Amino acid sequence: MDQDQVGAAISIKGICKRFEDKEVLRGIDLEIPNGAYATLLGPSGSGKTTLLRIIAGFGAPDKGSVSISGVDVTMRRARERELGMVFQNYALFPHLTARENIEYPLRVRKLSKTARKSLADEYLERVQLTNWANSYPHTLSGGQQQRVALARGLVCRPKVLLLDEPLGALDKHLRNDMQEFLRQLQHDVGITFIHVTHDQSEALALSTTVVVLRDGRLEQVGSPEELYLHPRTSFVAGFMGDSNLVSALVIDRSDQSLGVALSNGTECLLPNSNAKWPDSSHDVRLVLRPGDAEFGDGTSAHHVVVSGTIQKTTFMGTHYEVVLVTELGALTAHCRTNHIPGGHATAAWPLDKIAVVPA
Amino acid sequence: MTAPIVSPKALNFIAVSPGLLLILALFVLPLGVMALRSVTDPQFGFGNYETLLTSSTYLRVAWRTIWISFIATGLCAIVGTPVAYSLAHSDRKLLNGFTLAVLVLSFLTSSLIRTFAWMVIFGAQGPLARVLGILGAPGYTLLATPTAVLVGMVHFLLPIYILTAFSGLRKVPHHLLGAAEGLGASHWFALRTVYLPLALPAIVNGASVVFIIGVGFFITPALLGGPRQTMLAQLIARSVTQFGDFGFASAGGMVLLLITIGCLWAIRSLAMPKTGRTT
Repeated sequence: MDQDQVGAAISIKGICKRFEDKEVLRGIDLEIPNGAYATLLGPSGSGKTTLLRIIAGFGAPDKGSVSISGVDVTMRRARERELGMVFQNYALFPHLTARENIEYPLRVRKLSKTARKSLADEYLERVQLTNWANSYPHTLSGGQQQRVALARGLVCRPKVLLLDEPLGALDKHLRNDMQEFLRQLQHDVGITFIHVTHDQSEALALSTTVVVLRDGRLEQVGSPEELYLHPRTSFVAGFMGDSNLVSALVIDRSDQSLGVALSNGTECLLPNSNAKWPDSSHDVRLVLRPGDAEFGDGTSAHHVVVSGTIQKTTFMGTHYEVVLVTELGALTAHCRTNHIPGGHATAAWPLDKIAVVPA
Repeated sequence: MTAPIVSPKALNFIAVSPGLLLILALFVLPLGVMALRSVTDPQFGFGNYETLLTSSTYLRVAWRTIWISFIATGLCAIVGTPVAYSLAHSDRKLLNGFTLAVLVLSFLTSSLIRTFAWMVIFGAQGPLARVLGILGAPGYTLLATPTAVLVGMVHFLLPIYILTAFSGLRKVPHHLLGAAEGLGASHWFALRTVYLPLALPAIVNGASVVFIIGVGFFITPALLGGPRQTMLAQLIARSVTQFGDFGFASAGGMVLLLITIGCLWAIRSLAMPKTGRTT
């Protein structure tokens, strides 16, 4: 395999950006591999959109550099970066038809009329809009407009396609369909996608790489599984899916396992799979996912077992969400059968599914 | 349940009737009287129109009225559109406030006074003539030239154009320029292919308003122009004030109206986009 294929599509070094007195990005180092579907995930104000805009060339960083396919483009203008872009709210040109919108980047690049037509035809078909080629944007549905924007971003085969909250304006049902569509499209065209979102379920469903940002810093970068199963901070644990965070103290650390003591006096030995676990007498938090809970009674050497009073239950369709008030605090757990609020219940979390993060 | 005494439809009609009556009394009625008079005074028939349309003087004046207004409108669009653009999309509040203040202030000075000011500037003893004299062209005056008339007209029309265009340009989605540049377009290409087509309705609106006013101009060509810059409104005024020929003046007014409507229709059908919308 040649260097270009295995190399990084985007390489970011030491990016800092400040708007007046607010530091928006505080030293971002990031590499996104070629062919990845990367999401920049974070709450609003985390700097994800600013980072995307800096990659796109809409605003220079105060410090640091951006490289695309190994070429430093920090000083280049947006139009010289050979990127595709799907804007928030699509930014389709209202005076042009779907086809003319898709042809626009080709017109900019002075392609011949026939070349423009055949490429536009190809991408109209890719986004399943062949029958709407001559429709104006305001006559198209939100999902169709979204697909025109995607085709327009991809039609000149950019090295990277940047997507700024592309599904934000769609309703939930359509958003799920579009997620599937986006994944398939990215797979088919083989172009690196960088997708900004604040929706963690969107990030989990779409990406091969999730970049979690918080207050202008990288919190964690990894595959969706890595981030979900092995969060490195309580922020990531809380942000990626529901979780109960339970305080604990490290009492013993070996290469194979980590011994922790819970606040109710229970001690347990977690199988060690993370070299970065802290040493003894450090405060940590255990991440108990509601979906991992097993209901029953009795104790087990392979579980963290907690008992408590049921505060409330909510029917969620596939399961009941049960809030259990225990010695460790209020814990949320998923249960297949309903429980009566006020009653007593015991929930157990398998030790091998518990992640540990710094307190 | 009792039926309402007045149906909603009738209520609507009652609500708009004062406005309708006002329009009827102040616009439709006088226009009708004028149209009637143009074919009945001094006797029934199209005699007034015949005189008007067979006289080479009148045709020449009508043609001049159209092209002088057209050039003045064009100059307003060329000079005014960038100003309106900056007002509509720049976030420099101080500059925008200053520009708006200048524009609105210019309405506070009567057009007669402004025209007199130009007469002084362009006059044989005026500052412009003096500067030209120093530069070696003594005794030259711009008075009674098309240039003087155009300067006077543009001076009056420009603020009107800018304010009209500005209110339309504000609604043009300016962020699409950024989108076009993100897709690889240069700023100029994006302006030409994205902004301009979307801004065209606002520009045409401004130009239409200015053209309508320009065609009816009277004071400026009378004071700054010479006999060779006479415009249609002046001829109409003359036939009333000097000859008391109301029938002929009415016919002139009708011709002026038809010219205006014809030109507007031509501008709009040529320049207005047929499809799409701005938001």
